Amino acid sequence: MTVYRIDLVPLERFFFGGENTFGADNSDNYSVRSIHFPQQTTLLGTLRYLLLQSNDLMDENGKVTDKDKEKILIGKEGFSTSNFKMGYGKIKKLFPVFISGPDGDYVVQSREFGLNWIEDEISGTKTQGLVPLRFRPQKGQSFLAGNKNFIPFLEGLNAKTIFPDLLLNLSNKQIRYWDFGHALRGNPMNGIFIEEEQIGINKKEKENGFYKQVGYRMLDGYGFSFYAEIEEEIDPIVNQPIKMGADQSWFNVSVARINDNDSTCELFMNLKPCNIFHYPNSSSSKIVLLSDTYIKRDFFNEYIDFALADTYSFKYLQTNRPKSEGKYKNEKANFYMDKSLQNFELLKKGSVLFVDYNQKADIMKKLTGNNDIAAAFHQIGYNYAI
Amino acid sequence: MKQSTYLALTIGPIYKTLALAKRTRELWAASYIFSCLMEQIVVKFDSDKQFEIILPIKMNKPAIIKTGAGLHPDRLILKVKSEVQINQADIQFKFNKYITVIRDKFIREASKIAGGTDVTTQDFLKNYFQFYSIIVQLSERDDPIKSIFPLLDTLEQQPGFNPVFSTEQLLKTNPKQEVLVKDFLKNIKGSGLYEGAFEKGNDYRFPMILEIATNGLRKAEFHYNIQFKSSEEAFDKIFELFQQPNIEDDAKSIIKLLKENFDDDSKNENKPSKPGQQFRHYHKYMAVVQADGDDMGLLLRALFEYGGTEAIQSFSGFLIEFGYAASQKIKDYDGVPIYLGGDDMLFFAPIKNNNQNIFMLINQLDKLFKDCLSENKHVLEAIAGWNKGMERDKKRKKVGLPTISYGVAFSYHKYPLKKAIEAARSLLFETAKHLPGKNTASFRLLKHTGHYIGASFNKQWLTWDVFDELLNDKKLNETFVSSIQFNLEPLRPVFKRILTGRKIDFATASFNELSIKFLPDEGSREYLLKNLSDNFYNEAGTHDQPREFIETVLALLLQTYRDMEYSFGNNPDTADQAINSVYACLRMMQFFNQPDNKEDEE
Repeated sequence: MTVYRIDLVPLERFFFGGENTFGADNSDNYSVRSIHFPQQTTLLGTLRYLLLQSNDLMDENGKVTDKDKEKILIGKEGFSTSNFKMGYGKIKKLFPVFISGPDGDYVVQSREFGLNWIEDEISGTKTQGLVPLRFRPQKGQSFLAGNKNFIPFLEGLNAKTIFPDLLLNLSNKQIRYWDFGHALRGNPMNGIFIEEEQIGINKKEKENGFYKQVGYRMLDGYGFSFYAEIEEEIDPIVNQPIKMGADQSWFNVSVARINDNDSTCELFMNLKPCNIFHYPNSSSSKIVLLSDTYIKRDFFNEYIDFALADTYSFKYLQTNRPKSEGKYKNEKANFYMDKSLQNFELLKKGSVLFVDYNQKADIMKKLTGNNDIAAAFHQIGYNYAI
Repeated sequence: MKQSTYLALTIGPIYKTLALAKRTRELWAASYIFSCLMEQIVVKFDSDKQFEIILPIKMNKPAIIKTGAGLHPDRLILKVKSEVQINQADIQFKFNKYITVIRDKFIREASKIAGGTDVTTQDFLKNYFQFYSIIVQLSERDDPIKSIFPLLDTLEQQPGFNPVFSTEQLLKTNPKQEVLVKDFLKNIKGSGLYEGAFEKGNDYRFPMILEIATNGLRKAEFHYNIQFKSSEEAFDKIFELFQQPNIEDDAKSIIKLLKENFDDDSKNENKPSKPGQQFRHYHKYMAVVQADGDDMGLLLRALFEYGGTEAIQSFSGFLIEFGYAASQKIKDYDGVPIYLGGDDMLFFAPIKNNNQNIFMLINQLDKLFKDCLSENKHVLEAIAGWNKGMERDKKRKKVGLPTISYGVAFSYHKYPLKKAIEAARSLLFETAKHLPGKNTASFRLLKHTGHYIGASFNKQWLTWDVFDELLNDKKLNETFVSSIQFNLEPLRPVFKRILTGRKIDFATASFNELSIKFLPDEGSREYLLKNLSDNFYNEAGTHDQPREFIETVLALLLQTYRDMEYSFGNNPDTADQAINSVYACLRMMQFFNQPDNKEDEE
């Protein structure tokens, strides 16, 4: 079993579809925005494709030439929540996506900092500043998802606090915004993602043909990375162009075995108590999600004291839907997909779950599931926490 | 010290639900259901003598006319009466029971409206709508709002969510269903919600954006037409037609019909050779207004300190009464009030309505607020007491009669409603609220291209009054207004020099002023501007007519600068801001008066 690191550097503007897309079934939206990170399902798909390619199992149209060999190599189908047994052939595990750059690797910062308007006492002018939010439960009773014998309280929060998207550099512990802004030029906190809007008119639509699509580029040298456990020897790949995402944008992919001193890998693989998010709340009584996570309702109600979290709606593209239902297709490649019938609401990476420190270890174990939907998600990189 | 038991509740998610709305009636529904829910909860607790409601306080008398506005906020604070002998567990049980009964009834009805009464649908909605509550002990001296509101702020951060939801089940019962809350909003027409909200009940036709934008035509001069007897009738019939099930609301056709029926803007006697259009360019835009009271938190603290709970309750009651009165004023203007929780307002309105315009409406709302407030003795006492207390507590900030700030977005009728509301919100909280002194109206004309024209004025400034007057100036020549903007720009450096009194180094590309600091006295600025006008606009014949107008514009510029200088200081940035604001004024004047071109707006 070998662990590989896969790096994907965007060569142009990219677009990853989220909940709202123009899609074959959705003409309601005139404006859609790319999500910043690719889904783990997208990464699985890319890896499966790469393996087929490097083993010469596709013809020039992308159609698989040997179904039996395909099954052994990458499994019969793509991701499905009922697949927690069959696996994906030689691909054993995927780890969460993160960002890599010339100055180190980044993960999503825990959602414990708010952006407040702070008034300067002397001049009276207001500026925005990051404020740490300390979890200080108060005496009393509360009822959110269930009865609790305390009242959750975040010191530093006010009614106008915004939660900015932040990244944490694992090497130098610096915090940065996700998005690049001209107002922050020169500021080390300035982000990595650069918005790029595309406006157009769909000539086929008579009235509502106008559309707006917001994609992203990244600063030079930055890209997405993830680790994967693969039971197969792969020759290193260096900067091979590959297409990814809803718009099929170009990325350069590199695949190599991990180095011995790859500390980022250790973070994901060992998940031993680690203090990367030691501030402003103690690591022992909180769980920070390193990847998007699926949690059952009962589990949430029972174990989570308070969630400082954001959620989003998720449907994956299923490859095991019958041909006739496949709205997303490539007929030449004999490839049909459609959105899953089940709609998931996942907790976003960076979300913080406050728990009883006595129960933390137990909860961490349960998070990864056991022969269930959570386990299926965990296998391809969801449901990782620290 | 003796402790009392307080209970508090926050319902939601409001912004998440508002974001799901596409049509005006859906947006109204998304806001109104929460107000409606809170009203039911308040009525329930009001009837139980063991509890005392701190806020929100019910209206003294029932509303005379139903305006459709949501008046109740999303938070409730109760106190268990001190004489009541009841243990904690029983109180908790009772509290939860009351809320659960109301919540479950709502979920059942909402499920019906969303299209499915099965357990899955009800479960989904139950996890979507948040009813978060707390029980806490406070002493008599603790300010309940100051202690409890921050706790509710935290609670609201926890999202409700549905981890997995299968559409397979739904697709079997109702093939079109996918996003339940969206369906709930879509099906709101004809549901029981209308009965309680509008005079006409289920017969009420909630106006679409274009109807709100053109509401001013209802009372317009009407060209006699065999088909319709009055402008009101014509207007209603046109929009009723497009609400028929088989007819798509086609903006182009509606506008065409409106132009045909409202085709003459002359008064009867002297018809000009070319009749004008009553349908104007601004009729294609709707005003989306978000407003919020300034420094209310400080006032509430002052109220509690000098009047205790009674003062808070009185003020809470006042806010609802004011909300109702304001909703009536907005309706009189043919606007559509969505939410008026006292100091927090959201409404839609036509830009102009006969002799009135949206800025005049804002002034009227301000006056109403001020008049009502100054009759509330609790407020006057609290302000006086608090300010007197500044003598011993140096850190205390002075409090005055509260004012309201507004974010006003002029949104093109095809522009997504959600974006227009975000724009108004952003204008309010990110612009208006950050101007020194607040009490500001921040307005912006939104264009598809992303380009925008706008300005922010403190309503106490003289500039605000001058601006309002100019907008209503019927003598305005439209060509002057559009051309003068081009004529003024090359003179920007000169204006800056005159306004700031500082030397500009023309040799350098950017305008880095040297630091000669002499402040020009008033007389010299006016004199310099007059000289400028005399020099640049002195061609006999060409400049005679616009001369007066140019002088008005320069006077506006100087007044704007004077007002801004007070808040921002005497410097080139302030001068730039003043010049840009004057452009915005000119653009607004043009916008308020220009006819509609044949080609559709961008």
